[in-house]
Amino acid sequence: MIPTPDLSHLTKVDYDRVYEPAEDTFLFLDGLEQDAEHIRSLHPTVCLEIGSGSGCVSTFMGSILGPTGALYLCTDINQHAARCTVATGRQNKIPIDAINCSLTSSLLPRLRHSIDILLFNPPYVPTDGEEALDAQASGNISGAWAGGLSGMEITNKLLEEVNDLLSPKGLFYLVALKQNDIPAICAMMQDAFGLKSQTIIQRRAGREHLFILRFERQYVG
Amino acid sequence: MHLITHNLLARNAKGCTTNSFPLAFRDAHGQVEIQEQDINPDFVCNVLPRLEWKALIDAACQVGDESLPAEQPNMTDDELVQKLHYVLMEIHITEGAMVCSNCEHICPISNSIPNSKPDPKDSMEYFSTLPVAHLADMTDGNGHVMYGANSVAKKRARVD
Repeated sequence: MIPTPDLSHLTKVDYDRVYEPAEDTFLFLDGLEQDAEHIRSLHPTVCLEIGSGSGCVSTFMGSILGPTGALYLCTDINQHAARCTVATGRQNKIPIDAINCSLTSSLLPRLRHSIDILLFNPPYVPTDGEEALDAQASGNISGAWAGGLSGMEITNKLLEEVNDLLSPKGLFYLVALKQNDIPAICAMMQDAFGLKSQTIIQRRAGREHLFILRFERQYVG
Repeated sequence: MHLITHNLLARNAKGCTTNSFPLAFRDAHGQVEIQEQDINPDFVCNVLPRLEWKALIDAACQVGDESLPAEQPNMTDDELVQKLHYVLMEIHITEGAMVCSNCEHICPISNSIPNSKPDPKDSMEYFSTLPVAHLADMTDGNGHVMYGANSVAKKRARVD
């Protein structure tokens, strides 16, 4: 049993500005725990989480691989989230470096085909497109959920980069909602990039039917 | 921010996609903390092929450390791994700024976090551009179903 990260240092004031871990976060942790042996067996060197928010998920990854087991990088467009991420790492003795930037922009040139574990719990809630765009441009808390049409407008931008980011043995974990059209996401990743996918865990939480998807390269023979 | 992260950061913004690495430290000297960490020699050896040696040496010099050799040694012995661990994982930049040598944009570092956010206008433009063709096909085929306020569920309800 891998312990849930200690978040007792985060306060109501933090959660006014940063998404508070909820059912989606905890399903993500459960999925990663279930995959822990597989993840360890790959001996990852670089882990990157996009939109790390409270830092709960990367800290959990740090518990799976050990504080010195890998490099833990996080990005978030919300500067308060980036601070909470670092603080949560510190609270749990996992060294995390956070960068306040959009998706993977400032890391992509140097980390091409170098990410062994890529994690993304995206803003998956269907909203109107303008709301999603405004949220990303302003870097406020609504960037944690406002996903635009089908809840996929921000995720789609990241999906275009996954193949460039993943190392040959790399795994990409994505949180998705049923309304995001998971068969379409998986078909696109297979057709466009040859990345095979699997649902590793799913759960209904109130109105949301949540999935954790895992993508990896396909090797023939 | 550890120096290993500096070695992986580029500017990469609209209009600045080449020669945007490495970023040069400005005002970082004296804003450096040493945070001790256990060494994992395997990690240091595994990360070595992903580093740009000259950028690492320059960055370390800029923050006052000259422990590493100017040229990357062919052999990775224990002493080098120790030194690398110190420079990569224990030197920590807490405040200051980094400057892109190409576009001269300044990325401030505050509370150990570099700010490399895009201009809001560029962000709007980036996210409003239709994805490449295969993605557009996908969203066109399945995407334009709006689910209304009722199912804009948990993620939003949480913070209201």
